[in-house]
Amino acid sequence: MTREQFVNRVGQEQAALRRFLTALCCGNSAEADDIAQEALIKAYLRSEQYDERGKFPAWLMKTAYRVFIDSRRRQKNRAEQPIEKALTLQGSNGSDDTFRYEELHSALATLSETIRTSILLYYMQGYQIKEIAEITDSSESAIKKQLSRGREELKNLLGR
Amino acid sequence: MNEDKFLKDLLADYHPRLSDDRQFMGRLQRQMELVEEVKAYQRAETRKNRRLSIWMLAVGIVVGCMVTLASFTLPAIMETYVNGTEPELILVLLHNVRYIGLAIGAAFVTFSLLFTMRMVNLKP
Repeated sequence: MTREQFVNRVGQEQAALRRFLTALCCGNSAEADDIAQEALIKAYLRSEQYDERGKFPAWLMKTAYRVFIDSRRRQKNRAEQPIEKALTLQGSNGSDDTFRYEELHSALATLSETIRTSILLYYMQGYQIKEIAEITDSSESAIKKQLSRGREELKNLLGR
Repeated sequence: MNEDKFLKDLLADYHPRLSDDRQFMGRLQRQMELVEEVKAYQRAETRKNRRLSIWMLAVGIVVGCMVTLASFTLPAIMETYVNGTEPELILVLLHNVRYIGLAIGAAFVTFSLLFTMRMVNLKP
């Protein structure tokens, strides 16, 4: 894949990727953008190894998910910015969203990172369980359990 | 099923305000340009290291061969320089000067080969 091809394909996918990462970061759009940038640079460095037969968006999601997990590990190691605190660190243009999606972000923040990822990939991005298992390097049964648990927790939190 | 529909609707309706697309892509392209610069620098360094390692190999082999050949032309013992007052170590060295020369030559060749292999195997 040439640089131009990569840029063109990323141009088509970046909005969906950033939307997913913003939800994954519980509304922290600045953090989501940083993770997206890091993930896309990593994907660019590995673009020569990309198999054209595969799905480009799923490949990007996989890279982004790994970067997100690494970023969270680094945060935990530094013991800074708990998730509740991160919720208040919105991007400069996120003030409207803070109120609009406050309930959703708070509910997502209570889920574990793996459950949140599975829920978002399944319900927001429309991936199948098999694809989610590939993206997160988990088994299909583990994803089914995470979806079931996530559904239950969100039902309780959002009062449905 | 109702939960599924509720979550699907809830998340389908999730459209947070993201930063400007063009700004985001501009930032990405700048980072990609930096990556390309680093890659070009690494390629140049690798080429330089390979050239240097080939030179080191050539120099090591030439010097090693010269020292080895020179060691065979040296006399077994330099009687003229021995007057009986030298320390024992010097005498031992003088008696084994050929072998010492041979060892130095072999060391030159070995080190040049090792250094060459290490340099060539340096990954960017």
